[in-house]
Parts: sequence; C-alpha cells; structure tokens
Amino acid sequence: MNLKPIKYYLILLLAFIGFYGYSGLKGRAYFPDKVEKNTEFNGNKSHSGHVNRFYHK
Amino acid sequence: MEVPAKSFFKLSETIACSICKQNIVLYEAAKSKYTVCPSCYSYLHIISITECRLSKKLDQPEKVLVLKLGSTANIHGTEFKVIAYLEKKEANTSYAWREYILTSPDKGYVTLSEFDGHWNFIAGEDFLPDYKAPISYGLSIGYKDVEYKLFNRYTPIVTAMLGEVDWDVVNERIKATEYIAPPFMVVKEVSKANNQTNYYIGEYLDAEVIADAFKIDKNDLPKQIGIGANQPSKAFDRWTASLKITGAAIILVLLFHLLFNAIKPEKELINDDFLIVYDTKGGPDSFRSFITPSFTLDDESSNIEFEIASAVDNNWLETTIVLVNESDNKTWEVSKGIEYYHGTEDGESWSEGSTKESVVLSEIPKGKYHLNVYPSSGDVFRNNLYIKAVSNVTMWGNTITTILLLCIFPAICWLLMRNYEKRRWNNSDFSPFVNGE
Repeated sequence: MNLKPIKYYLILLLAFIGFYGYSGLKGRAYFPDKVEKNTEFNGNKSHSGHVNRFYHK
Repeated sequence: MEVPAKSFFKLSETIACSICKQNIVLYEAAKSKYTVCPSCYSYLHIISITECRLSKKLDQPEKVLVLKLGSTANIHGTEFKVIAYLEKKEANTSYAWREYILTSPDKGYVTLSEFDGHWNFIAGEDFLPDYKAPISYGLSIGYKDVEYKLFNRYTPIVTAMLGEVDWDVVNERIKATEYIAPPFMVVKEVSKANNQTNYYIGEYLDAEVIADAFKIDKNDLPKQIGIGANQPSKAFDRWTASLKITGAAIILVLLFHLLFNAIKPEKELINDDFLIVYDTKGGPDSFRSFITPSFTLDDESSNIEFEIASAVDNNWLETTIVLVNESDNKTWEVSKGIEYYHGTEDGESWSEGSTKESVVLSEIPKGKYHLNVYPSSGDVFRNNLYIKAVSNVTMWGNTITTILLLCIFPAICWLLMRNYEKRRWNNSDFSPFVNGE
C-alpha cells in the first residue's frame, strides 16, 4: 500500500487516535456538560435553592 | 581502445518513390511492405527494394512529428526504433490522434499513441510474455483478473502517414473497442475483412517518460488537454490508500474502546432516591439542599455521569449538583432541569420533555467526594429526587466523534476521485455517471 499520497492525513490520523487514547485514559469526554469549577467556597455564587451553604474544613 | 557499441538495428536503406522518384529511407527494408513517400505522400506497396507501386494518395500530415522517424528509445527495458507515424481519426467524428509505430529487433511492433497530449504504450500478445486472452462480459472485459470497463467504440481511419510498416495499415478496416482500468487499457480490434479479433494492451505513459526515453525536451511534446482515458488518478490512489488506512484506524479505535472498558470498568458511586422538602423560608420554588454520602474515585482521572430523575407531571424540577473533593474542597458544579408536560389538544394527546436527564463531568481526579445538591421545583409537593452517579462511563460520544473525524478525509478523497472520474468519462459514450450524476 502506497501511503505517500496521504502522508499528511497519516499525521492527522495519528493525532486523532492519540487524542482519543489520551481522553480514554484520562476519562475526558469530548462533549462534557457545562461545568463551573470551584464555585462553592469563593463566596460569590448563590444556588437556585437559596438555602444554606455547606462549608468544609 | 574502447570498442564502440553496435546498434541493434540494421542500417537504413533507400527506395525510389514510383511517383515522384524521390528517395525514401527504409529503416526495416527487409521487413517492410508498405511505405509513404515524404515528398508526395503516396502510400506505396513495396514489391522489392527496387520497385514499389502506388496504393493510395494520402494527405500531408497536419502535425509535426515530435518523435522523428529512425530515432531510438528504451522503453520498459527494450530498445525501440520509430519506423512510422500515422495520423488517424474516428470515422464520422472530428476526433483525431497520432500513432508512432515502434519496432524492436526481437519483440516486433508496438504503438505509441498520442491523443490530446496523453500517451499510451500499446503492445500485442507477441510483446507480452504473460499475456492471457481477455474474457468478454459485454460492457466490460476481464484481463488478468482485472475488470476493464468499456470506454469507447470507433472505426479508425488513417488520414496521413510517414514511414513504413509490414502490413496494409491504410486500407485495413477494423472496428476498435477500448476498455479501461487505469493506467491500463485493452484495445479489441475486429477486422471487418475476416472478423478476426486481436487484443492489445495499452499502458498510460507520462509525457516525462516519453521525453526521457527519446531524450527530447518535454516542452516539445503536445500539451496535455483534459484527462486521458486511462490516465492514472492520484485522487483514486489517495482514496484507496485513505480508505484502507482509515479502516485500520477505525478498528484500532474500537479496540481502544474495548480496552478502556476492560481496564477502567464502570463503577457505581451513588444510586439512591433522596427525599426533598419544600423550603418555606427560601424563595419561590426553593427546596432544602442536601449532601449525599461520600464516595471514592480510585482511578487517577475518570469521568462521572449523573443521572437525575423525578416523576414530575406537567411541572419541572431543576437541580444544581456540586461535586466536592473532600480533601482540597475543589468543586465541579453543574445544573440540570427536568420537565415533563403532557395533555390533549384537539382530540390528540401530546407530551414533551422527560422525567430524567443525565450530565457528564470529565477528568475528575482521584479522591474522596460527595455531592451538594440544590433542588428547586415548580411542584411544591415534589418529595423525591433520584440520583445515580457512575464513574468511568463508556464514552460513545468520543468513539463516534473520532470515527466520524477519521471518515472526513476519505469522504473528501472519494468526492475528488468521483469528480476526476466524471471528467474522465465525459469523453466516453459509455459513462457510468448517467445524467452527470
């Protein structure tokens, strides 16, 4: 099989597979739901429940 | 002292034209039976080296010969000499092409045909040691287990000629059929005189190969126009190579998918129906928030899928879920709503929404976690919220997305290849692309 005509695609293909493998090992979803990180204890966030906050440590 | 190499070819001889008395150079005097006078363009039957008779008067060639008579070249490891030049056209059409008859000392005649700057090296069975008779399937033929598709049918007519041949090339009447499987072509010739069928195998040659073989400047060769009947397609090469490699890559991705399922199996973290209570002191729709029991993520990094469900009926429930790492208080917050409405309108029942939803968090590090849950609902009597949390869920989205991404390039190659083939078959009456589709 002559791979010369698709040498650039091969690089892209390896990148896709590499990223897929990395994502599989890290548990990385390509399309995760919208997440806000570290909102709970920075004091500028209120939840729709409008109720007590939980504090740790 | 170095001994000069001897030519494979015999020295040329001359014969006088019986019409204009000009000398005609013969390169294969012992073999040739017909020749054309380069002065008066009389097509002559050679009776002997001293006598020839007029067979037909031909037109002067329209084109200038790019491969000179008597010039030699090495093609496919065989030494050839150009002994004749023919201008042919398709009967009742304006399609015209050129043919150079080449001879080798031990393998006989071959033809180099040129049409719109596209060259074909055409040889008969005498020249092909592994020749097998093609098998006809109507609109295609099989030759050496390859299918050749019908491309053209025509009756060739010689309009001009220079040089010599050993058969009556000008007066022979044949019906030719061309079948292609680029870069090769099978030419079927049926003699109208005796219905004898002969097959010839053609191979497309790049103009560079012709120029190199005859040691001439490529720019002196006719300029290429369009796509040759059996011109090899780079788009086809790209398509076949990308198809094979993408097929292998998709199998690899599916194997990875199975491998990840095996080495990182799904783990249920929470599976519980939680009691929720309307908070009369909170704002409208507020319910009391609550904390789930702790759970542990053992893998260095994993995803978590939360499935939330509540039997809302013509109402809604929304909840914010905060994943809290109990060792460093890092949090991941997501909100999701459930709404389910149904009814009857104009005698037809309808429904929309669902009583369950799911959310996915990715790349959550190893550690001990719990959830802070902040529900709210339009139904103040709602009293349950089902939460199921699973780590290392199968990420079909990743797998399908990767496969689709891998398929984009072969799809583009296929479109380019198809476009190329459509342009090729535009020159044929037997195009498989009916109505240009």
